[in-house]
Amino acid sequence: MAAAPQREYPSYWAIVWEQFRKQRTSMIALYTVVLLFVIAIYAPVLSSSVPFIWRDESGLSFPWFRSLLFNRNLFDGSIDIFFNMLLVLSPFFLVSRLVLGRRIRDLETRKASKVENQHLAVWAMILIGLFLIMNSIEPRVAVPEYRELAAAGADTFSLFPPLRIQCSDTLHGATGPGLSHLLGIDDAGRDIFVRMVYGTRVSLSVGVIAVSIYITIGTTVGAVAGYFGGTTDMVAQRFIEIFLCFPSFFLILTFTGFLRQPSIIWIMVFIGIVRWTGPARLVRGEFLRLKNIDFVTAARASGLTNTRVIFRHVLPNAMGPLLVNATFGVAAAILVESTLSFLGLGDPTLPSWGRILSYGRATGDTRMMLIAGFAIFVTVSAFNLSGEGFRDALDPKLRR
Amino acid sequence: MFRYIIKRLLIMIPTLFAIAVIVFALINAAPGTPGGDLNSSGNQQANESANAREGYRLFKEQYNLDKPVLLNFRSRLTRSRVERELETIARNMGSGLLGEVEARLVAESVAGTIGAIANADYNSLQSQLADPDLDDTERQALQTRLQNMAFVDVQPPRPSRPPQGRVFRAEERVENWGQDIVPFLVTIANEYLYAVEPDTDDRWNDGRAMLARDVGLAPEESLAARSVTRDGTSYEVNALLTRKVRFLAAQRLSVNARRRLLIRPGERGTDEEIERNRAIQRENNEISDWTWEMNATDDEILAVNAQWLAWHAEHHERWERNFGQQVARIFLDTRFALYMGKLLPFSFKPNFHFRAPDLGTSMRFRRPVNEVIGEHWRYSILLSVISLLLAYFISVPLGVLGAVKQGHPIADRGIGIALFVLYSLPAFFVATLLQTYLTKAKGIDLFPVSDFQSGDPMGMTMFQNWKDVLWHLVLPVICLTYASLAVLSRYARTGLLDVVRSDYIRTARAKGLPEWIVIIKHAVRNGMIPILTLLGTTLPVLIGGSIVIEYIFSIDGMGALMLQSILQRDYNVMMGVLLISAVLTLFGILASDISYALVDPRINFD
Repeated sequence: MAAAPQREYPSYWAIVWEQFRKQRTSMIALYTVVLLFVIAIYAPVLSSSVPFIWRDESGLSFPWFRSLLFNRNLFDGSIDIFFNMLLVLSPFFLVSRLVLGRRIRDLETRKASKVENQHLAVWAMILIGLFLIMNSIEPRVAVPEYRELAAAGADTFSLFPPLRIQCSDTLHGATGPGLSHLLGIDDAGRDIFVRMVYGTRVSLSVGVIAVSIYITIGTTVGAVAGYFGGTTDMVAQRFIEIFLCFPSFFLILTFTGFLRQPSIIWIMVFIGIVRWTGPARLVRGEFLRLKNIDFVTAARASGLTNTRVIFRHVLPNAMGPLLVNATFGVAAAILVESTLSFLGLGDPTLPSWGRILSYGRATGDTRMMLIAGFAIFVTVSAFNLSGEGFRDALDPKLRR
Repeated sequence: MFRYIIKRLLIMIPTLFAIAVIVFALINAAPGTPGGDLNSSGNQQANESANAREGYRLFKEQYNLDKPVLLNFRSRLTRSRVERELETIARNMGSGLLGEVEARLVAESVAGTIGAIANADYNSLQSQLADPDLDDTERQALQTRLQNMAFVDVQPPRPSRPPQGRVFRAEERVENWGQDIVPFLVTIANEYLYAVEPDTDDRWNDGRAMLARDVGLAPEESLAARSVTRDGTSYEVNALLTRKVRFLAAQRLSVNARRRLLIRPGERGTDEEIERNRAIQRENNEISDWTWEMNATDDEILAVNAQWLAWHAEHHERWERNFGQQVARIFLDTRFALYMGKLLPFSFKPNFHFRAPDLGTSMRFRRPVNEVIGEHWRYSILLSVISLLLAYFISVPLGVLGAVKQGHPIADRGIGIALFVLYSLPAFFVATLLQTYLTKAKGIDLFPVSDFQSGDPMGMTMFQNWKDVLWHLVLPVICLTYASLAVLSRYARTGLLDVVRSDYIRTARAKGLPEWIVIIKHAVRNGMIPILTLLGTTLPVLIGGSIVIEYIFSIDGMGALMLQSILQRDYNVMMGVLLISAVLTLFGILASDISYALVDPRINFD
């Protein structure tokens, strides 16, 4: 007997996405977010001190590609390595995604999404693994001053990224916008635009990583408290209550004050360990709502372990509010980081937007203030508006 | 309702305790010595000058940093434990001795003797070589003999130096033990003897000290002892180390035996207290001189020791504690207990009375934290209250408008988006812009650049003064207000929307009331409940959020205080501000819950 063609229902997330796409503002915000990530990942393409192609007496070489893996580009830190790895892996990922897309075209929705998820997970693991390896490799290759060599040597051929990081002539002082420096340079001879571009990396990574930290903590605490209830719940509740009493910014500031030299990783961790109460309460509430519904009882009755019930049956249903919370959280974390940098408590080695703004304020350079402030504003509102969009899309009452 | 409030208040007690514990843990987990920058330079100086070291000790005493963190087992300290620490310091003691005395002590000690005997030939050759009348061949021959002769390298009795870190720790410990080890120190200064078994391999390195007490020597005798016998074994006395340890013990005594002043400088007390304080001071001054130099004669040493013995005999009851007192000390004489005790809003000394919690002393201002916070408090409060009122006055009508004209392109969506944009603007950005363009810094000279008021408030009438302050507050208030508008008006809007759909509003409309009466009289009243209860939780948040604004506009409020304390590691102020804001939040939440119940009779907490 031939199986009757089953009608395919769109999945929950497909519905949400459909709803989300109907809101123009939110879509624009989401595009902005994507654009920001693209800028962050492909920053070295725009500007780097090493040329794509280099030819001299010793022959043809491609220092830029090597520098992605073995030299940190402009600012020496893990964040750059991470984004470089993203940059290196992104073409391979896109190709493999295209191949996969062809292969799963004929599968039914559920299976297809499963395969897609596995594919994504494998690539995420490759990314993290590669990052960890590259982050631990020392020492790094010293980069020759290609720009000077190019200016000096007549018989060399070079192709540089379009923008310069540092003005060769630092004695000039600050100058206005021009062709070689899109937004001009500051009085230390640094190209403002390039700093802004690399600042995207800082802001986005702080937002995403800090939020992942606290979503992980909060979800675990909230899920355990909500699912098991009773004493566990009571203890968790008291704990959350106590934590809620501390103004989060004060607490983050206090933690940062403990560091001799604030580093961006610690700032992420601090934001992470201070803000977990929000998602914890959220997830707890969702779990309290969901745990007595029939499908959970059925899952438990069929003998599944608690861990499996929590993570495979209940948690996916609590994902919606969590997503909204996370999106707003990214915006808040970016704000916190830039505020810390503005107050001079940020990572001094990184071109954070907050630092650029406070530098502009200190030197009376209005242009830097405006640019940096505008960048923060655009990023924060893009995330906030996306979160708003997700919230409306998740709300069944507002479904159109 | 009443029961609910009581219950909430009771729950608050453990919560408050937990908050205090967290704050305490936080500060004690802070890396480095509390006091940070104030002492990082002090630490180095401490080794250079006794004055700085004494300053550091008093500092530690004042902030209870010399106490153990959680449990105090110092009554279980033993004499040999103290001796071990002193030996560690003594081994590190370099050339505190002058040439002659050192030579005598080295000679007295066995190493010197052995060295002298073993190298007798060598030494005589050396002295022959120094003879100016020698001719070249003789000199040559002597030098060859000298080279072939083995020099027995007997180390002078300076045991191997312990690692520097251990020495520092030992010094720190002995200092922190303070009064608790005074009886031991008296004994050590009198009777200590560094004696080792002669046949152990590393006799100068790790030979454990043998106590004179075990041998049963009188103080005078032990000072002169070269070797002692016990159970048939003869032990050699290391004169140099013995002297060093006794020297350290006497020196420690002159510091550790000092008592804490009842009234610290700058505080006031009753006449009786002042009198007792003076007595303590007199005694402290007196005993601080009872030390001897390393090159002192035996008689001088014995004289000082006799002073200590007499003093200890006179005051020995200070160290006598019964069992109950000892147990109580384990828990009560600790950093944690003292900190908590100060936070309690009442005190049992001299008899039960209520008082404000004592947050300690600021290291930066050298004044009580309570006072410091009290001074900075009013600026923040004024700023917060004005901006909060303003925020409510603007956002509630906006929210109501949005709810009434739901879906209207301007009144609802337009304002909504505008507020949302404002919400996303970072406060420090807006503040910097306003400060740049609306003051004489760069733009129009409309508002003062910073500060809370103009330089001299004395020359102005009260009205002028108020006007001046308000004029200074315009920009900060704008910056503080604008972001909360979006949140508040959204609350107002949703609150009203919930109500507008309910039946009693439909009834009100059906009975023919004009629309504005329906909204204002019937809907708004109930619709504003959520936003009203938000008030309780907003006030503390506003204080916390004003760090940036106060920093930019140089207003000396709580936020600026917090920031400066963090930068200068003034931990007591940090603790105080954190504690106060946490407690305020706690009360804010309670107030909002209670007001929720008061305003809305449908809610029943019992």
